[in-house]
Amino acid sequence: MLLLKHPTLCLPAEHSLRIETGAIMAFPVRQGQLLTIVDERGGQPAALFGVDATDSRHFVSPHHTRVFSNSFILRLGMRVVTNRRRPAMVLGRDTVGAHDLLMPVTEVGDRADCEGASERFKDKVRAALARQHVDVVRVPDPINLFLDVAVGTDGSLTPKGVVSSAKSSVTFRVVMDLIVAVAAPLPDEKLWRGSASGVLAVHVHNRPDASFE
Amino acid sequence: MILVEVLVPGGFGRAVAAPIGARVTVIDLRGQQAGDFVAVNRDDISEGLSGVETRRALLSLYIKIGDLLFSSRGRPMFRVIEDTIGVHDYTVPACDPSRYEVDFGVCGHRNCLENMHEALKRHGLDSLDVPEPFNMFQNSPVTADGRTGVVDPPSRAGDRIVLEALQNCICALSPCPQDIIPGNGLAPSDMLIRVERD
Repeated sequence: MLLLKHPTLCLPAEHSLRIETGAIMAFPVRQGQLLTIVDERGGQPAALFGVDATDSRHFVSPHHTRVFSNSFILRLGMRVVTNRRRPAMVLGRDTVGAHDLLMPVTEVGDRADCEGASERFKDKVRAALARQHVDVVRVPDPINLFLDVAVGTDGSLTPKGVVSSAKSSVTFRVVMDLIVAVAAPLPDEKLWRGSASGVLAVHVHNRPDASFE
Repeated sequence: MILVEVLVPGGFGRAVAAPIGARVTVIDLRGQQAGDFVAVNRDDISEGLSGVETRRALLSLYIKIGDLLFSSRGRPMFRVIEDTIGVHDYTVPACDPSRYEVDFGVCGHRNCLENMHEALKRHGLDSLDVPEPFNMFQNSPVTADGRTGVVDPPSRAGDRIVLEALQNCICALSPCPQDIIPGNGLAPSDMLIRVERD
């Protein structure tokens, strides 16, 4: 709940989801709600997407988010903005401190050939959003939570893998009505190695809840 | 043999076709001018030049001679074969109406996204089909704490980058109209795009 002078928001019921490795789920989140994503077992990244609930051409953009804050990585307190540079959510709690804004999701495993892999993953995102009646012209690029890609001053990008441990979490204050999609992608060994048994817990809630951490 | 050569006015956009095997040359005619460059597969416009795919492949924010630039399908789309400056960016999205309206309170400013879409829409592209750009000559240094910013390019008159097309492509170039913050010396200027092959 946002502390407004003249409260007009009536937030929907809180709800929680469980997303296992390889799966993706989409769900609505209203302005003022909190979105917490927990890596239950550790070592599982979360690919995060968000589309304006009223306009599918308006979506969360990692690229605009970087430039809006002049930062290659997502930091505590940073605004996650859309392709029209409007704030969609703010990273308000973070027990990890390393989240990627530069890479695709391929789920390619250890195969050298990744031709078409990003598009196959985006097809899954498109299908998940369609189940929430959102038909996107373009599937945005992801925000890769818990994935650490170090950025050197020489421009080098060094994948450090997934740095979340069991119960690591992030919480966003959502400031735009969104349809959010969260995936628990399969490994891409160029960027990270992992098991096929990760679990993400997603909580959409109306008040801060330390029990998620 | 030159197939096409187009003078692109500063702050505007143009598109050219580049067949497989052709060399695509982008020239900064006056210096200190960044040019947003995008490309799509002429035979299937849903496949576009991709920054995220290229970053995954190169593991670098910067491109250099010999590097392959990848498409949204993870396929090589260009190879960098000549580069007189070595300063280019592919992390900053094309400036668009919201860049000027939200960040600077200026409505109606020319912008790279609409410039490139205007040039590409006759090929059937929606504005959301315009890929994230490669910003030739744009100077976006990385600071020690993983932050960045855009400063004026060090390019001088005549600096160029040459790409070999590895697919049949439609390319668009927009010499960036940004004249409010550093990036083009506060005065957008003309660029040249040339497509040639032996």
